[in-house]
Amino acid sequence: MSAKAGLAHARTSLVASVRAELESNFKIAVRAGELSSNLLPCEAERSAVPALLGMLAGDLGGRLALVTASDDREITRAFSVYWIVAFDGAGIFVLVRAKVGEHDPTFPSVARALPAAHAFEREIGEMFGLAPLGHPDPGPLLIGDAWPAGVYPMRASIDPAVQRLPLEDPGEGALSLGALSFRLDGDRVRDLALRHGRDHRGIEKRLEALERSSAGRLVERTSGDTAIGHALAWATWVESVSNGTPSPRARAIRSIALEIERAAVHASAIARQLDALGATIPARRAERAAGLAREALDVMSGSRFGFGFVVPGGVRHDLDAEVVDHVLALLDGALEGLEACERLCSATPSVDERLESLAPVGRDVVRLMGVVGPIARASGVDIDARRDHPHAAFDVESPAIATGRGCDARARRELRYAEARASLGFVRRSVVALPAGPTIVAVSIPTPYRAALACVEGARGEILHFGVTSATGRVLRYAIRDPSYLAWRAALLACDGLGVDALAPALASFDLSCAGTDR
Amino acid sequence: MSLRDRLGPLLTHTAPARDLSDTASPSARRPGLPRFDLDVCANCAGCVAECPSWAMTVERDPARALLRFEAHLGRCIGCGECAIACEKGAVTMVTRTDVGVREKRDLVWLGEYVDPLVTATGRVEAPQESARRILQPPPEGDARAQADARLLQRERARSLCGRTLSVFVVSSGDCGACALEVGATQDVWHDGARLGIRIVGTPVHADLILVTGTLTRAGVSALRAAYEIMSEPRLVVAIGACACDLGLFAGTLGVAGPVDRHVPVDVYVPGCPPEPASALHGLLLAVGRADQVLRGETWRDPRLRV
Repeated sequence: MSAKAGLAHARTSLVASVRAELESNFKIAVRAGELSSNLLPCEAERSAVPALLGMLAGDLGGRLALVTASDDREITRAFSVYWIVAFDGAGIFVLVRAKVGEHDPTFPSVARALPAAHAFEREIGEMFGLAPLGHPDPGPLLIGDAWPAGVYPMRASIDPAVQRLPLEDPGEGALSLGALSFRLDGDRVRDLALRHGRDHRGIEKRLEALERSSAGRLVERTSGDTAIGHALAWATWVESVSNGTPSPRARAIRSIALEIERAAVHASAIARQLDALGATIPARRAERAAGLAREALDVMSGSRFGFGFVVPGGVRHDLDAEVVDHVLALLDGALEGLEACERLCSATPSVDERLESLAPVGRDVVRLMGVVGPIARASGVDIDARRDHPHAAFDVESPAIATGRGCDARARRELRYAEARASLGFVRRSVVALPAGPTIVAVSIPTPYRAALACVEGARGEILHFGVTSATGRVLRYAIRDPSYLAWRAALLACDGLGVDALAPALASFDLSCAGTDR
Repeated sequence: MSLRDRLGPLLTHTAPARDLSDTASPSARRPGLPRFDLDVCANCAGCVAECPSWAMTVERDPARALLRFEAHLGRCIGCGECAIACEKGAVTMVTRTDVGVREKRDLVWLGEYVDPLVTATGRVEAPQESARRILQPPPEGDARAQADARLLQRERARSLCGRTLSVFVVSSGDCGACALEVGATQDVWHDGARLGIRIVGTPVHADLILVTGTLTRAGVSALRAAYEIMSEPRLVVAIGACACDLGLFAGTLGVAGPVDRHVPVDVYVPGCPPEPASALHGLLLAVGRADQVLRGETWRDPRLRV
């Protein structure tokens, strides 16, 4: 059985068992006919949600991927809270929606049973004013002291088109320069915490006010160094709410751009990790590889970060023969840099000795906290959206997916090296066999009140964009989940208790994005 | 051309004496920043409609019977949509890297045109041959004193720092791209250290604060604290569209910038993100070791009464 047929079979049987469970135990009917997309939607009473999620994420083996809310009071006179559970083997997401009335703005927390929900629920609390009942630590996450009290920025009463909130002076000493805080116990780092929100701009709210062309430009600036990933997620979302289909050629070019970006991000992550160890000579080689991969993106797209390259309907520029030659020459240099870095590392045992068993993240922690991407794969948890939830042209061809076994900083460095190599090899194979077709096709106006979920394997892991269109086909609610969002808690937990000298290399081994987390 | 050739002028001690304009990106696809031929512009607002970051406006001024076109390069993300949209060919994209400017108004292109609605009623004299004039009104009063003080500060910084410059980076509310490009000024190609530029970990040791990002509500106090702890002369360089004029994030709820709302800024470097070479140019410009090249223009239709 081919991979594609296997996925379709797994999907059918999973949908059948989810449907059976929901109907027999929860008396919830699942609408048929919605299975053309990757979303299986169902409505539940909010009181039934903990048991329902326990079933989905426990017995059925799902992974809680996103919890978010939406202020739908103008349409349904209630807020909606959404829980999205991923089923990686079947390429499907179950979307549970519960209504929360205006007069009792609360919902049951599942963070004790499913720690992956921890940050999401805090964010819903501060952004929508919906309190997660029973949450172990329900403080604000992203908005800090300079926010006016009692103002919930994501509510519909706040106009996304005009900024009217006053700026409150937090006063002296309310905020330190560093976002990271810890206490020193001898030479041990204790109570390691990160103050999120330093980069919180409010992209999701702003999207409700924007035209599609500006919105796409804004979304790709969620996290600059994974701009291709976020732009691809936006484009995929727009295409699924408006039934647009890019040509095979455009999809193949998207895969190539995404893999070049992955190589660049991994190479600079390796460089930072080695720099933090003081291994500057191999670090410079990796840095060189990252710079050349960024130059390759520049040649392809006109921006070192690929801004504006992936757009709904396709890609902005074609890959013609001249560009291909230039890109391949640059990527050969990148591969050379990475290999030189790896040779230097293996010739210097002290590098790996210091990374060995540093900041381990066990498989159970990965599963509980919902960690995705290279960190999960380095710990031996085989999650990769390129295979599990195919996008771009990864259903046709995909780079080899590596997993590690060590769980530690060394495993993460080795995994990034393996992935970057695989990505560069994939680009080399793909550019010579590009299918024919236009680079861009027109995309129609989105269907009103349509929900869609886009899932893209960005360099740091699975990027999720969940959105609902408004009556006019604009954005009613758009939620962005960067892979770093879930990994921060696991990373801080793994680094807590380390020696102070080991903190920098340990944190660098996770390579997490603040901009993507804060949005 | 290899990267080393391309960035050659920035790699050696001869920088910044040599022209930086030939160090533009190797990519023929990079749009660059727009340059406006204001006397060719037909005021159709085609570029205004296409601009994703609202860098341009056309406004009607009924009192003075004119249409005012403004383009703020500080907000421009360099996407090139305006050049595609312009039917008159009044917008050309320029891919230079030496784009730092000392005054924010140098990033502004301003055109004043006869309002066609008013022309129809015959209140304006017969058209004359149009001519390009560059109007840069000199700063007056307080503004002049402030400019003088900043010049003095720059001169003092230059004489104190000589050919070194210690830079403290504040990043708040950016997507990370500018911060990475600033980091890349120290990489194996741009090698800012050869120009004496090094990034330091505390504002106490810094001569200059480099800001990237919009400054979020949480970032303002961090920037102020860093600025206050520095000893004079202290310089501030705003890198990227977000730091100059909020860029695409103008209007988002979390932002409290731009930077010059909170601390005086010595050099603005537009772009989204600016190349590492542009960041280097901005830093050198702040201490007078490079020259300003970019300057927005002002044009008035000669038919308009002053």
